[in-house]
Formats: sequence, C-alpha cells, structure tokens
Amino acid sequence: MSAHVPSLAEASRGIADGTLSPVALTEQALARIAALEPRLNAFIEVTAPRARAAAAQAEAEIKAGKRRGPLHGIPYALKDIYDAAGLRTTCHSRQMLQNMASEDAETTARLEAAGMVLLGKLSTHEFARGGPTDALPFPNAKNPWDVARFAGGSSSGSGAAVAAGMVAMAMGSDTGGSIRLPASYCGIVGLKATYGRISRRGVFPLSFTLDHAGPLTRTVEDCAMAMQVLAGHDPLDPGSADTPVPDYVAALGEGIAGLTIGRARDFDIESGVDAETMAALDAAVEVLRRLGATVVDVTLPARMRTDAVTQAILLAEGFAIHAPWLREKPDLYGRVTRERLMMGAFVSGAEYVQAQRLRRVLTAEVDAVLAGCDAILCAGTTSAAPLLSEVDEGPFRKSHPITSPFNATGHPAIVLPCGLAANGMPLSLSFVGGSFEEAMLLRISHAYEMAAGWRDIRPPLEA
Amino acid sequence: MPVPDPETEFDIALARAGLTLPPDRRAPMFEAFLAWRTLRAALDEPIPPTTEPAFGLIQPGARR
Repeated sequence: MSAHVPSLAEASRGIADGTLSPVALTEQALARIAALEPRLNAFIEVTAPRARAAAAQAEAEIKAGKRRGPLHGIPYALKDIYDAAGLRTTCHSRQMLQNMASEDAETTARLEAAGMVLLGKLSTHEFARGGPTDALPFPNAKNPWDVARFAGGSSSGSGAAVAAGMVAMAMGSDTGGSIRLPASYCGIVGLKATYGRISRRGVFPLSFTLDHAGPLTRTVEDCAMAMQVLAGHDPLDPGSADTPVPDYVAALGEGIAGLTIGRARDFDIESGVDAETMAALDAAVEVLRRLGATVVDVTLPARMRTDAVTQAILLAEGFAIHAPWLREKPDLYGRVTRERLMMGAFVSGAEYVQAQRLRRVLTAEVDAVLAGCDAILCAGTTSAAPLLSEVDEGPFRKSHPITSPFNATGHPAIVLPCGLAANGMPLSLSFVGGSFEEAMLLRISHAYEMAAGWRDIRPPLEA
Repeated sequence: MPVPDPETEFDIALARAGLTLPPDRRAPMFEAFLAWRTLRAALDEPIPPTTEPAFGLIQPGARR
C-alpha cells in the first residue's frame, strides 16, 4: 500500500528543497485513497483528473520559480458542503444530487489561489445534520482506527481521510462540534476558529449563528499553515470579521512558560467525561506545568443553559433553511435528517430570541473566565469513539456538552490527541481561547503536542 | 390564555409548519418534542430587558 502522505509541513519542505514533487505527492495520495477507500468510504467523489492537472501545473510553476507559497502543490480535500466550481456539492443528500457549483466557496478559492491540489469531496452527515446512517445516496465514512466505531460527525469523511493518511488537510464545518468530534475520534487536530475568522460563503448552511468553517490536519503546525491561508475578512459573508490576521506559524515556537491555563474540571465532570479521558487530562496538566505554564481551576457556564441556547438556535435556523423541502419533498431526506430538521417547527419566535439574548450572556461569562487565563483546558469529547451501534439516531439529538457551548459563544477551540484508551482508540483534549486568539491556541497546542508524545499516533491500517 | 396540552401543541406546531408525519413516526417525534419542551424551560432565565439579542458578530474587537 502507498505510504501515509506527509504532513503539510513535511511536504512543503520537500517541495521547497526539490526532494518532493507535487505530481509524485498527488499520485501517492491517489494511490492511498484507492487502496483504503473500499474500507473507509471517506470520499463521495475523487477528482483524479482534475488533481493530476492541478499538480502538473503546480509543478511547472514551481520549476519556473513561481512558487506561490508554502502550500503550493500539496493536495487537500473538501467536505461535500463546500462549493468548488465545476463540481457537485451534494451535501450527502438526494436533495442535492444534481447541484453543480458555479463558483468556489471563499475558502476553496483561497486554497486554490495558494496552489493547493483538490483531491475530491468528502463524506458528511446529510446536510451536516443527519447521520451516521447508511440510508443515504453515499455510504457513511468509517473510523480508520476501527470501522465498527463512530468516525464522528458531521465532518466524518474529513476526519477519516486525514487520519488515514489519504490527505494532509481537509476542510470541515462545525455547528455543534462537527470539526472537533471527528478530529477527536480519529486522533488528529481540528480547529473551530472564532466566529467570523474564516468565511462561510459557499459552504451550505445549517445554522447562520453557529456555523464555523475550519481545517482538520494531522499536526498543529499544519493547522497553523492552513489557517494562514484560510483566515481573513470576506465582505460577502455577513458574519465575517474584518480583524487583522497574525502570523500563526511564527507564534508556534514561542513556548508557554509564564502562561496561565484554566482547567475546566467541573465542566468536564458535568459533561460526563469518562475516567480514561480525565486521567489523560490530568497527565496533560503535568506536561503543561513541566513546560512552565501555571494551571488553575476555572468554572464555565452551566450545561443546561448552553444546551437550551444551542438547540433553540440550531433547530430554528436549520428549519428556516430546510422548511420548503421538508414540506414539498420530505422523502428525499434520510429519515434521521428529516426528523431532526422538523424539530425546528417546535421552536417559537420568542424562544429563538431568548436564546440569542442568553447567547450574549454566555459569551460574556466565558470572556470573564478568559480574563483570568490565556486559554481554557477541557476534554475534546466525553470519551473515545463509541461503537456505531451506540450512536443516537433519534429526532432530538442532544447537543454535545463539551463542543457546542463554544459554537454559541463563538470562541475558538482546538482539539488534539492526548492519549489512547485501553481499547486503542484515541483520546483528545481541547484548548479554548479568547476571540481571535487562535495564535495563542496554536502556540499552546504545539508546545503540548511536541512534549506529550501523541503527535505521531496512527490508525492500524497497513495490515 | 390557557397553555395547550403537549399533544395539542405538538399537532398545532406541525400543522402551522405544514409538515406531515408518517403514522409510525408520530410516537418518536412526540417523545422528542417532549424532550425539547423540558429543555426549553432553561431559556426562562430572567435577564434584563436591556439585554439585546446577539445576532451576528458578538466577539470583542471584531469589525466588519
């Protein structure tokens, strides 16, 4: 089998010093996809001819001394709710099987302008809402660590493809945890940036208030490299912020001596984090202290309030988007998606407005916690990946207790591996930061990642 | 005005939205509706009338 593709940073260095070519790198990725896709179903569509043409063009440009930047000639993939001109955006749904994109999403355009090579479109839960279910036009992505276990969602194909070494970076979206959960369950890095930091234009919406676009990568350094291209103002996205973009990569080497990390232990306990994950977090605290950080206990807003706020907003906004199809052609949805979207009919106007008011209160409460520390440490998820048979497919799926609060408040949050469970599945932690403080999150995460020893964990796929 | 019983509220909400359910899915959807009905009580927290909704950007320092 073709080897795991190199990280973005390794590929970038190889292309810069001439030891690696975009064409060879793309062929390696396509070969690995061909070998693993029958087991994993990470892709809805592999765009091999387009990728080969883009790789050849990148190679020619680089040979001619016209290298566009550090990501030029490196493959990537898109969750199939992102538009790429000339390709279908299906949202993994029968509703959208013939939906051909005429323009790139802003994020796609930025990655293309950086010279990256699109390998294809990735599996998602239907409209980033249903799933995991195979009662859809394409199969559900499988977890590369154990195909009987949940890959997370809704960016399930993105998590599976990066973890399996098919691609070094994939785009996901996160409305209640849909970048961070697959990254956690698949043992990789996922960043939900601050609301407004990365454009959502051209990404099919689920909730205008809660949706965030962002990258899944194998390492924190790769995440910083991707953010350097993705972050920035888009005047055509009404939620986009015109806030300066720092040098994310430069911040990585600054270390964390003297920083203060707030450990949200009560939040994790209230969220039901299991003993294995709590033990891994205790070990992470010791790593952070060894690196010179001070770790203090902090208290985050109570679970019931955050759950009610995120549910009211998600249900109402998702229903506003999908109501015409729910009335006119409901049978084109999978059952799980249809029923979850229908739940929005039960949210009143007053409840939606009250949730938006409480959202502002919650944001201020998290800001107050962050006034006393540089970042908050909590679990990435409550446990390692559950069995697929244990995953709730009911109409009223609970908000994820750890990830969804920060969709409501808009704060940036990153997840990365922090250990392995007794069953061999990855465990993860999360750092949450102040608004537009992604550089701080990446700096802390990189220091931890380099010291903790979980950076190079790989799923057992080679047998 | 009296508050409708849950089953009536459930039927009115679906009718108002123009949605129909297959008969075999009514029970699980009603159960889900009851779960939401319980959770939504958490939105009743008293907050000052001056607290406006947080539409769009709410991050400190954000410009657009």
